[in-house]
Amino acid sequence: MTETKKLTTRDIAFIGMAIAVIEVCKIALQGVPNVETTTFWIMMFTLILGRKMLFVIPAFILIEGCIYGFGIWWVMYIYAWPLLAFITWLIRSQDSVILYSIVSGIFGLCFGALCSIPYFFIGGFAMMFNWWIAGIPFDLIHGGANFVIMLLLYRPVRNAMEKAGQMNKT
Amino acid sequence: MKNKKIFLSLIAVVAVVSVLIFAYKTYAPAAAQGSKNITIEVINSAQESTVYNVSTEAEYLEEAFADAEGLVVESVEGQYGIMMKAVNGEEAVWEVNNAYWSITVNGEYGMYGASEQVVNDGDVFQLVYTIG
Repeated sequence: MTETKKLTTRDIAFIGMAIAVIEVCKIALQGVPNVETTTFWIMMFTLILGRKMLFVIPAFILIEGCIYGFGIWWVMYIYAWPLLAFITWLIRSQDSVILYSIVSGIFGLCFGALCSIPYFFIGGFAMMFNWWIAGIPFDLIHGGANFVIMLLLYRPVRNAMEKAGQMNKT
Repeated sequence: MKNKKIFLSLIAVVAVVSVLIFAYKTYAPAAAQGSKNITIEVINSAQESTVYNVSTEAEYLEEAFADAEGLVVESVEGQYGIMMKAVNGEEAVWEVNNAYWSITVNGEYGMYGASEQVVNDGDVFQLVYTIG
């Protein structure tokens, strides 16, 4: 996949597949508390698609809203996932499994803090802070799970994508 | 250079984990031991209220449910601890109408699930059928 501005038919197909992979994996892991592959896939697809990830994330967020409703949790998605993609895009030249695992883990650890922001506008700082504190045990599990998932899957998935000729080597 | 980046990243992980553990240990409410008298009010979808005055030694709300005679709470394991699926036989199904059972604690919207919500003497809990 190239980082050219023009969107090719192949890009469109790949973008559709990326959205489906993210969504299906998310649904498949719903029964496992605090373990998700959305972080992993958004980072991996950002490495492949680059700026074209701008087509994937809004579609993913919209689908989530259509499936689960447009509640306050949905507002968090609007900035949390694009932020992850942006951070990944900034370090896209790196090819270190440890680095991506650490970024993925830190994102999981900070997920509660990120998602607490809308509560500031509902109930002020106290509500935002209490909401964040209440979720810390889950953030710790989330961060650990993110780290392990990236550690285990980054290399095989990246190799597979490179083999498939999808990886941008520029 | 590469090792330096990884080393700095690892320091960042340790720092974030330390902040989280410190914040939780400092600010999360601690469970209180001993006997307590609490009130649990159930407000169903028809806005009908059922009040339970409960004497309990439970430290967490989920355990106190068992001491409320006549109160039946069915729960499932969710992303953030247990989630109340049905209260007194009335099921809230998010997928159908964005409904869920919420908890208020002394009039404030609860931040914790029933399994993490600390019980203190005199607390008033509401289990409310809520449309999200």
